[in-house]
Amino acid sequence: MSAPWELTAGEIVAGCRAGELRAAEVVESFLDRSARLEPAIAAWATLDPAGALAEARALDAAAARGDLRPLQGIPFGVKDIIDVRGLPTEAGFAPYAGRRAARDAAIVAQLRALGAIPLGKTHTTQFANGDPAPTFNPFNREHTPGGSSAGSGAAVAARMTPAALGTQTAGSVLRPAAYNGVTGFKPTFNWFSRAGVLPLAWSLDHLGLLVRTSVDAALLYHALAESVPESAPAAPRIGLVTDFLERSQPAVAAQLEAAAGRLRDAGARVEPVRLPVELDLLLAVHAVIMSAEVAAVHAEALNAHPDDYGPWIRAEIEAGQLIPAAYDIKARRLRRRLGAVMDRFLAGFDALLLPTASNTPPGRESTGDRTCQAPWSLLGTPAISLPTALSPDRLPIGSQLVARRGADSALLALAGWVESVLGLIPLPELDS
Amino acid sequence: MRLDERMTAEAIEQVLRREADAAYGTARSARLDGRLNQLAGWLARVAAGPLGPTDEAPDQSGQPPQESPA
Repeated sequence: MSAPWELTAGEIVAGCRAGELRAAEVVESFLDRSARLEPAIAAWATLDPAGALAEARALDAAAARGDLRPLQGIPFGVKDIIDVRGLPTEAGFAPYAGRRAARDAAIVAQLRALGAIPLGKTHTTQFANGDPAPTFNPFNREHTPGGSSAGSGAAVAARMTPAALGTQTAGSVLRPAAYNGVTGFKPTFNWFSRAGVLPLAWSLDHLGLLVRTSVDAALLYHALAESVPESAPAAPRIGLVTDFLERSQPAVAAQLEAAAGRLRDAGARVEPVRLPVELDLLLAVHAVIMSAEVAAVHAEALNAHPDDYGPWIRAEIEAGQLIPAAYDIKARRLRRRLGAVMDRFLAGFDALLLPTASNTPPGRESTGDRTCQAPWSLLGTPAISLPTALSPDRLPIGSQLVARRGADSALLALAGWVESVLGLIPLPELDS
Repeated sequence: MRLDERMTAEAIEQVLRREADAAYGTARSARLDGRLNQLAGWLARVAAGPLGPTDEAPDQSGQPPQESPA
């Protein structure tokens, strides 16, 4: 029989609901594995063994009385810009050391009420921006785990937790998912409440999920959204977006084209398409809005603590403060126009297919390339990354599916079908 | 700096550099070189983005927030 740390979120719930697993043994198993692997992975900013075990035992006691929850016994990690009551929210920023949250962020409170158990806080790049986190990629320690949800991605890949919360302003859920060989789901903008989450850029910040499979993403999403799962269409219409393939490493583009061929063989109507708007314009609009908002969020704190800021985010704030209002306003007007054009384009497909990241994880000095993720943060569309391939040098490659705003349930159903056709790559053993 | 779609990225970068020198001092400004170059390119692209006065959907920011299922 599998050890609990080997199980997916869905398998844990099924085991708990069948009376074959107790939440406390699940939590103990993931805590033990975390303690064993943390020196090599550095995924956790804070672990809360006592709190997690107490909560698990309370859930087990309730279960014995017949109170079983939809996410019974699923441990989860929480990116360290999201509040968990009683635990510090430090955001990789020294002046925030020991800054304990008085209450849970809304999404943490929701997950607790559904029977999930916070194990602790996962490392983030400073304020979820571009200065690398201390975390290592479980596939290869010489490569970045991505960012900004570095600890969340690596913890799921190392099976220190079956699920983790992340946030994305440019590519910070999808890219760590791809680089760490796990599944990442970013729902439609504002679908998950951001109450209790430190902002980076208000009009772009999304909460998202890092899990092992699309089935797990759907399980958590539908429990949080109180929505009903849909079925995938019999012959899904998928647009393979060539604009992104042209910007990708050859190995990444080749894997995506191979995946598209397998989906076609399985019955999907896959057609190569070009974006109806210029990709460079989407990226420029995203970058201007993000820089202006990051500068506004951090102006006062940077004045108070300039030397505590990392070089990447400090430069973004200082440059962003120079953006004239007329350019910022035009970028926001362009976003509305581009969004309307893209809404019409996306309505013609069940999903777009593109690489999650243009490259395999680069070295640890960077958090990677946002080209393939930032447009969907700008437009607020749901997107999911599936770990479908390994490069010749054994680094993970993600396939990304994107759907129109509000089509989250349909996207998750399609992702389940794609996952069943393509399969998922094995996670690294790490114990040997 | 006024918005002018004919302004090149190089010209925008020169203006940004002068403003950075004034705001942060030349030593700090020099450390922003790469970032200012990148920002100038984005600003030039945004300035040249095609947009007429009635080309966009009306601004919805005065409306109540979209209802979320979560």
